Amino acid sequence: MKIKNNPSLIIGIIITGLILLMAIVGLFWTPYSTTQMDISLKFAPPSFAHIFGCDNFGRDIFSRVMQGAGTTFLVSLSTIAFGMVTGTIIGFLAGYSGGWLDEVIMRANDVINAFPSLLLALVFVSFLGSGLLNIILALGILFIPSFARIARSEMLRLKGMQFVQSAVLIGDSRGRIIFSQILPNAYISILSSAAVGFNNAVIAEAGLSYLGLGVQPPDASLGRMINEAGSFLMQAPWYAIFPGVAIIVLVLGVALISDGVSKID
Amino acid sequence: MLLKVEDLKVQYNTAEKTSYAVKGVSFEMERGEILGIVGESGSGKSTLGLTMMGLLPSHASYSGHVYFQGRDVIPMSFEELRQIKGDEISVVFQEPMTSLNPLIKVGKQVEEMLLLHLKDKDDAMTEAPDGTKLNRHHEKLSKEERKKRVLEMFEAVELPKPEETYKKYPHELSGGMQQRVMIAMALMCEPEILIADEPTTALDADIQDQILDLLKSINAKRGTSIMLVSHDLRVIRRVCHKAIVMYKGEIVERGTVEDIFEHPQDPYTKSLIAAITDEKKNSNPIEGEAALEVKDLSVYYVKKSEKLGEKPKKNVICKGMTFDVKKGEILGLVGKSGSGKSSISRAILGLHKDYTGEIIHHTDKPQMIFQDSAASLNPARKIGWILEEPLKNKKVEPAERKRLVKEMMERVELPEEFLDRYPRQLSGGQKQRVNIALALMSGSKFIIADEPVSALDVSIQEQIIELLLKLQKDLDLSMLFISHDRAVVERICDRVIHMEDWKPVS
Repeated sequence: MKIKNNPSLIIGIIITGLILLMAIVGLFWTPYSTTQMDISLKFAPPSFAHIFGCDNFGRDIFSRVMQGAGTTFLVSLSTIAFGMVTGTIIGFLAGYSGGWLDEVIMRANDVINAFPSLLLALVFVSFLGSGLLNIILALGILFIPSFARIARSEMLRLKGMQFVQSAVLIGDSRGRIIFSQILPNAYISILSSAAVGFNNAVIAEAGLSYLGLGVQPPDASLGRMINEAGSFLMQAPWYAIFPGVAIIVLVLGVALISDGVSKID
Repeated sequence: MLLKVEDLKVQYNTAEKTSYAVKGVSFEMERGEILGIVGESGSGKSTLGLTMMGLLPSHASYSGHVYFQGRDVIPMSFEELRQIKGDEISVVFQEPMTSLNPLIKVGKQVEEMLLLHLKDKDDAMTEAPDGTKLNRHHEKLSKEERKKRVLEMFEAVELPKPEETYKKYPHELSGGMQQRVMIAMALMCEPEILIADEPTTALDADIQDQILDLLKSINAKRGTSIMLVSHDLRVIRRVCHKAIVMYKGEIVERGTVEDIFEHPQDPYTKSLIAAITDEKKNSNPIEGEAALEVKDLSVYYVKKSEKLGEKPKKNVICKGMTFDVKKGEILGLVGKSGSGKSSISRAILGLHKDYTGEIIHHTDKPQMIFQDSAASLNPARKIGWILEEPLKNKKVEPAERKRLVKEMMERVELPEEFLDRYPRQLSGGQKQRVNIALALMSGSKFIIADEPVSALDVSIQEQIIELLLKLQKDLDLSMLFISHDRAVVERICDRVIHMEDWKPVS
């Protein structure tokens, strides 16, 4: 693996790493309290004391972006991890066994795919109730089909290959064939689509929070902040701009990583 | 003098390194001659052919001269070269199927050559008003006449029923017929020289002979000079007048074919000739217990019906096959490609369930050595991991696994460092050694080898065969050796059986 010749991977890791670092620091320390209100600072524009300015309650936006990035990271990562692991297992199972099981699984996938994903997430959340865990679950389910389809097609491509027959002959068990022999050949395409999926998850979380179904106040997430900022766009544009830029940079970073991963041979 | 190559050098430049494919080669070719160029893959023989056609990839750079009828083609522009190509120089490649357009009837494809190139020797080049020469000949032939010429050519290359063949698509023709179509296409404009790059390598042995005979008769009847590029000395000996032996980009030997075969000078040529003229193995039938018994075996495929309500079709591959492999014996199974040899091996291995009859194993689970050494090794795993896998399944301790794997590497004559490499970092011959090691790793005494050497270069083939014979002796293996290549089978096997004897009557 030549990381040297892979600029998108390097730049992507640096950008994403910086935001992740900011989020992790935000867990333990922020310049100001993320919840303490100060009415005298209401809609204070960016200054040296408050570099991103302040919101409608006079809270420091930079501190809230730090905390919100953490929430967004957590939600997106867990969502994708859930979707990827479940989707890969389901897809491998469908692809390896074929026949009616394949049909059943893939048609169930189609059903999930038939609905606009954000609408479906709304249904899940209103059914499960809002809150971080439920958002992760709802979005995670939505990501299963895309991973299942990729995993299945990788499985179909690989299972007919001779090294799999060779594995059968030397007495490998079915699980070993799937996870030790085939998975290492499929992980690059699965990982690179995980990076794309991560971006979709960031946007989906922002969307749900924007609709008020995600993270509940006073907790911050990047999407939630843009949601609140929407009402004050003319008075305090910086309130929407900085969380928005944070999302864009994060998505860009991960997109670069995804591009880089897909170039690894 | 038809063709004169002077100090031709070709190198391929990639980001990592520059590799020299042809290192200063000079030779000449007379009109009406069949010149063979022999060498293994990587010897630069194909690069030589490509250079003459101006088909080198853009990352290749070259120097030297290639004089064709006195004109140097190296500095020619694309357009000048295009005029010569097809008109004066034609080429036939190894894979007819990939050279033909699958969507166009073969007759039309051959006819296309007439539209593009036809050379009417007297006045093909007419002068346009502004003095430039224009190639206007294609206006001269009517549609009927073009078709007539194609049909004549089909007859000349001995295609059966030219009228019917004309209307067929490439996939409706056999490999041999496709190659005849390619030859017809190449000859359509009566070129001075035909470059045939491994024209028979993808074909079955008896079809190979037919195509070679055809090339020979074309040369005799039409006087077309042929440059035949091949890795197979037998092909060269059968057809060519003169030959050049290439090794690592250089000519190591040249002369008439008789000279080269009777008095080879260079050690490399000697080894090549030795590889094909090796004597048959002393076939003394081995008595004793059977390692494998096959009784009344019929292997078939169930073909799903395409029409609704139709019963699935059975596609029978062999019928009533009965044979046994004795312990310590190498039994050869010979058949053409597509005759179902591999299906039988899959049935014996338990990978193919659609069969009737009895398969009785008197040894452990048999193991298999596949033809495609690359495809049968997991590309994402290191050699060490791959070789340990059978032992893991037998729950052998890690330290013991390492020891056994190292021992096996020694047996198949591979250095220990390879354990830490990925399959793609190994050459074809080395990968096949790993495959042999893998087959032996689980301790099985019965090996099925399915065309284990046919994808390899001649001198590598020889090494792998030597290795198989050595291992068979050392470990007292029984082997079913499947191949389409009679020469290889006769060299290695104690006894030979033929697929054709059990073909279902259709």
